[in-house]
Amino acid sequence: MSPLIVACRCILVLTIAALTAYALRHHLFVLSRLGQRKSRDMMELVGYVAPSVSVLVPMHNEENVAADVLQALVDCDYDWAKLEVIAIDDRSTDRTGEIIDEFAARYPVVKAVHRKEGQGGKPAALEFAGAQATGEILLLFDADYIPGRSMIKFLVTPFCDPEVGAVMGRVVPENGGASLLAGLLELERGAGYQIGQQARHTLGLTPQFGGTVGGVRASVLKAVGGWNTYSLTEDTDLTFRLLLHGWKVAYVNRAECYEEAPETWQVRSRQIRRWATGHTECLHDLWKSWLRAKTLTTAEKIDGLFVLACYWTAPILVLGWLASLVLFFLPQAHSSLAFVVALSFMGYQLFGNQATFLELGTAALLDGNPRVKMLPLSLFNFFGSTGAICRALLAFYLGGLFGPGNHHWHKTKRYRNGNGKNGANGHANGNGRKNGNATAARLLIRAPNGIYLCRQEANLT
Amino acid sequence: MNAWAFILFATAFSALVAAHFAAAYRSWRATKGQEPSDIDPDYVRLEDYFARSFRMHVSEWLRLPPEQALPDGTRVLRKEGEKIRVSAAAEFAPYSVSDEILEVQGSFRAGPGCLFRREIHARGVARIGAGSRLQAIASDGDLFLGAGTRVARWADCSGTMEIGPQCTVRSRATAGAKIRLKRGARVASAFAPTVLTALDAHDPETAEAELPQPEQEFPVPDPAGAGRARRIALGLDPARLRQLGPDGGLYQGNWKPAAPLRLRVKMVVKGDCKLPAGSLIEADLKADGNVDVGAGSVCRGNVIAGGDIRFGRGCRFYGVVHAGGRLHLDTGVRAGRPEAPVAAYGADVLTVDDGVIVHGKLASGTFVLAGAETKKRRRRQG
Repeated sequence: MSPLIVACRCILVLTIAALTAYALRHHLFVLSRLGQRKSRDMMELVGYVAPSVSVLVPMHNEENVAADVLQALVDCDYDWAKLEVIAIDDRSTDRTGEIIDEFAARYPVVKAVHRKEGQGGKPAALEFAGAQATGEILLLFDADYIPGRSMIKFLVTPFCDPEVGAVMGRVVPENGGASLLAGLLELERGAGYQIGQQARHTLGLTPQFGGTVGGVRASVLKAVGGWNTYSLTEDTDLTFRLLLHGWKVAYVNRAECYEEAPETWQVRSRQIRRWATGHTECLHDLWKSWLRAKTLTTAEKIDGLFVLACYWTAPILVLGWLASLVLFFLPQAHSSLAFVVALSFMGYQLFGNQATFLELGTAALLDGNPRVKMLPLSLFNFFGSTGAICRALLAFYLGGLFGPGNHHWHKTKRYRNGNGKNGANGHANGNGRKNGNATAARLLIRAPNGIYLCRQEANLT
Repeated sequence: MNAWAFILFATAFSALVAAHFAAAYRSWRATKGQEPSDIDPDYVRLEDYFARSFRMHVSEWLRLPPEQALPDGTRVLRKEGEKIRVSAAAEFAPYSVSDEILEVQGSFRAGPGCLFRREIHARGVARIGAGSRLQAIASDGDLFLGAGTRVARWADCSGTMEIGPQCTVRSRATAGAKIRLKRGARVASAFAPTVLTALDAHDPETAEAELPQPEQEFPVPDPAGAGRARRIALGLDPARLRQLGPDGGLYQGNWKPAAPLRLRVKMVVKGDCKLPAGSLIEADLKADGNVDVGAGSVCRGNVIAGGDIRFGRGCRFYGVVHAGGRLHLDTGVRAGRPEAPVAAYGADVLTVDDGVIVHGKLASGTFVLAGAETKKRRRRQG
């Protein structure tokens, strides 16, 4: 038997093993989410946990969105005596600095911080501003996010648990109707948070702190060495360092916050390449200490490795495709083993792909998202992402896509037009808030039993 | 397979795949520009959200022209199939049945065994007779739910609410002043400045009392290097104890100190935790298993457990309490202060003995049950 055939078979076996493991994990998550007891979360304690909070909003050329996020934060229903909002202008060349200065002048709760020198990038800006923060808890919002009025209360509640080092909320695209890609990303984000993060939280695994719509204890951040200013995914890096030091990350599904999802494939490609590179960097940095850690359970270790290595699945899958093609066209490859391997591959196609669709579909159904019927089109997102990840990892192993020491802002493109309109598709009222002057009546949804609920309360009953 | 069969199969298969994508594409076209997952940015979490929402809508409905005006001043309004009866005061005879939303602009009284299938709003005092069944009720005065009354959803009042023996409120009970839970009363959650169960005449309503003064401390003051021995005396195996952050410790295993202690750092116990009577817990405490707080102890931090939590007789707590299992508050437990309310939650049943006062909220994933343990204990003793 030729070495090529042996190599192809080995690759195929490896591919099947890896993808089956991920597929099993996704099935487990869906089952966990569907069988979850709502009563185990801490939502009944919301409003009774009130530590001092510093909200950090790092910005670099964010004049289109800066006013929206700051207005939303000053409108939050958190006690101002325990709140400070630190708006960080990291050497912007547009009106960002002026906007945050205006807010600081109008609202005593807002503090404007201007960086003119030093290392660039979001983690460096956070490190700089974090030193000036006085709150016990540091909450983070990217400039394009729009926190709701009770968001801070939702996010600080899990910190009543002394073992929780960081908390993550849920990100919901506000522009899912803007393009096909944005719609598909809405489905993908739904699966990632509604199923993936929630199941990992429920099962005591490793929910991830995403660097925005989340928070971390200031003392803990300091104890684990602060932000890694050299990482492309400083949030993933922090998540794993927290877990290595024995802390837990909590996920709050009810802390929903709007974001802008990429609307074009180029923007999406750049975003996912950054994530793939950052995750893989973390994998290389941390896998040894992760496996040796005594603070982690076996389940946490396994899940953590799944998270860190998740971007490897794309090149593994591509290699698997190539190997199966070779085996298909080489006549001498048609042995019984090849048949078994091919059969397994087909089996995976049935069972493994079902896992992804099951997760996306379940999340859409739980959210009542009518885009669930778009699921077959996810195939395009899958191929696009696979290509982008392969490109990123190839560049990473061949010398670095973003280049070593290239510490600047890696931002996803903003789509808002800077006229104070929050939201891509209407609801705009020019007062800096999405639905800002909506009456309470508009927010109440009529349920079939004759009572009026808003979405969050409807979830409660 | 001959050529025609292959062509037929390939065509059918391609059509199936194409139909799949065509349907998905149609769905995309149909939802283009829509934002179905609408979050309410103005949403503010309120304990009495349902009652507020109902009151707000009642006030809107009252502006509608009446469909019918009766000689006794009663008006009947209609709104999208809803029938709303507006009256000055209302008194329902025993075993009455009503299918209308009731807006009562004075006091409301229902005899025993009544059935109200829709919501009630009373601007005065509301008294519900024993064994009645209600959908939901909001009162701007006091509210008295007679023994064995069942409320299918929420109950709210601006003054004092008395939830009678064996009464059930299946959702939230909220009051502007006090909620008295009689023995055997069940609610999903009870929120008021003061929530209390049956008090003896000598039970003080205040939470303040002298703090216990335990001799043992953790972390151990260690001027003479005797820390290890002292930790062992505290029931801690030094090999299982490690630092968790700058102000906390993590203990692998069960922790059951033999003598009352003063805990001044956050503590995470990877097992069960049983604190002796008279302990003083000044920071947050968490156990993956059960937590048993001995009688007369005081907890100033939050108490979290993956399993059950039990507060012994006369304990006081001033932080939030969250039990992944059952939560029990024994006789004489005091929680929170009027100016600093607290919340106690049990994912499983939350049982509250007689003589308990909580400033804030009691909530459960199943139900809060008043006086159950007392009854069981008395039965055992009897």
